[in-house]
Amino acid sequence: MSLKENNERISYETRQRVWDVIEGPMIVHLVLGLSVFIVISPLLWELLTSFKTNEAVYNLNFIPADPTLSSYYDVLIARGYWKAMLNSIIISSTTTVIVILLSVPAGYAFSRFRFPFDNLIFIGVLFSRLFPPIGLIVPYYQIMTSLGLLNTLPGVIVAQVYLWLPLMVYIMRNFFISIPQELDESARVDGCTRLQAFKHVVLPLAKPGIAACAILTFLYSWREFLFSLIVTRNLDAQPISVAVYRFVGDVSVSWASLAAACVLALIPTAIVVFTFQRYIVSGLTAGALKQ
Amino acid sequence: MATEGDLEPGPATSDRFGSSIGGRVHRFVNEHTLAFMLGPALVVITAIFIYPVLFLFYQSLILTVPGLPAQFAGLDNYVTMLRSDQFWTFFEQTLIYSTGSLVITVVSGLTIALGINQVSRKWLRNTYSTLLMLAWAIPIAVVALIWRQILLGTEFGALNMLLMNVGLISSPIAFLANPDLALIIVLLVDAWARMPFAMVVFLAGLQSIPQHLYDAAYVDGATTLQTFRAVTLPRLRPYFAIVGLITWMFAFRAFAIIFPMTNGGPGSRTTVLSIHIYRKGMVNLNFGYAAAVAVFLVVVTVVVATAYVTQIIGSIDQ
Repeated sequence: MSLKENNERISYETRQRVWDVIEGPMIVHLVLGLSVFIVISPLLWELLTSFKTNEAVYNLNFIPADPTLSSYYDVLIARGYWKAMLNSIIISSTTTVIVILLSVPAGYAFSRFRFPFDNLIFIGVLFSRLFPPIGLIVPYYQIMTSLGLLNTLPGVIVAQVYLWLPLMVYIMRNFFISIPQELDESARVDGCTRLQAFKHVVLPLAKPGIAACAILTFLYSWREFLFSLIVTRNLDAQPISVAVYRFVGDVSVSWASLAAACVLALIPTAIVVFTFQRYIVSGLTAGALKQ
Repeated sequence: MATEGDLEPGPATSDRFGSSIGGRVHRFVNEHTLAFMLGPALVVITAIFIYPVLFLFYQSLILTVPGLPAQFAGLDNYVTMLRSDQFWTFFEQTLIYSTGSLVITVVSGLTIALGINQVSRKWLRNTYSTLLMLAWAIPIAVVALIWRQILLGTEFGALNMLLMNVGLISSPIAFLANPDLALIIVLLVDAWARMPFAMVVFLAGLQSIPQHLYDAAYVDGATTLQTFRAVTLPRLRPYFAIVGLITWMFAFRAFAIIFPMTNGGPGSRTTVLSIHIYRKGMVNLNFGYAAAVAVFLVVVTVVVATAYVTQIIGSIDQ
């Protein structure tokens, strides 16, 4: 009995010693460092390539021999991609404003009101979020054509609102549910109308949630590829996330210019991530979790 | 959901707004708060979602061979689709792609989340997760194009350049033109871009586990592995469900990685259903058939999502 106990004790300590190493700072930082390398090195390589000339890409070195901004000039001015950047900014910010204006009150209504078919309507909103958008590319293409919205900024914006509005209604509802309902009730006892309770009591508390939704909508619509591809034909309406793909059709791909376009497309998202990391995390978790 | 059964306006609405026009408008809005808050979003969702969906289902019943007049065809498109070997091959490739991406996303996301959870310095945790999040945040087509450049099958593709510099290979490997490698490579890139989402959700899950459970396991003399199996894994179960569902569903319909990277090639080795729909609908202009494939994709998604959601709700109730 005591021998067995002793044996187990030894084996426990040996086993735990192994785990202490695995859990210890060395291994943890090794794993995390490797992961960061796998994520960051392609981006750094793209950044380095963008400082080469299109001919220097064939020189077989990682670091550009004489760094130049000529690819950026080629992309932005010669190929007119400044328009794509401008389109992206217009599309993403307009989509964000529309989605926030619609989803904040709707999310509040779903979190506080009881009305006929409320659960059914909410499930409908959820369904529209889970529905595969790829199924709607042909209908969207045809509807946009018949409305004359093909290759226009409003056409892209309509598609982006479809893609992100249901998700943001869901996230806003979850944020509002986490704000105690007693707050609106006591405001109404004090004589506020429902709208005033919403405006003066709940909305200020919901600011971090609204910020998270706005940042997510901006990022999502900046990244989006499929619908922007379907609805646009050229740089008149194409956002940068689709314009980068135009290089692929060329007879010989200008790799350095493509790299510069990719860097231009990803810099705004990198800035948003570095600045608002916390909001993005809270938005993503609110969108994934909670019932 | 809200518990308050109240559709009436707030207390004392009768005379507080006065009888001016502005006051009347204000009172009207106040008496129909719900309609004003929910109405616009629902109208917009109906117009830009419900209508195209109905259009999709209707179109799947129409025969649209380019050059011929469109005509009602009943279930002909579905019959053609289900009898096509090509369709089943693409479906199989879609399943490999989405399941492969799911497994790698979950394993890497969980490993990294466990790692970050061990880091005690806050700034370091934030640095790690911010840098890793970049893979998720940058435009999807940019991800695909960067990897396409890295995996270029000539000596100036970054990976080939690296392997040749180190001396591991003597002539460049055509990664994306290799029929056996291409599907695996695109699913790895898909997982690369999906991993940060899994990481964020798992990290939220790990942080929701109360410390006293770990203290108790420690006092009971459990090893780290035992603690992980007895405390961490069961507590993470709903998170596994949610990450699994979302990752699989979105990989199942994924388009924006494969299209810029391989456009479904070599041959059709990386053609998944979404690429198939795009090519049938937008290139061959066979709208009816594309709609039938799209409906199939929707049905699979709905079945899996429903099964999974019921499962999740069941496991949360426990």
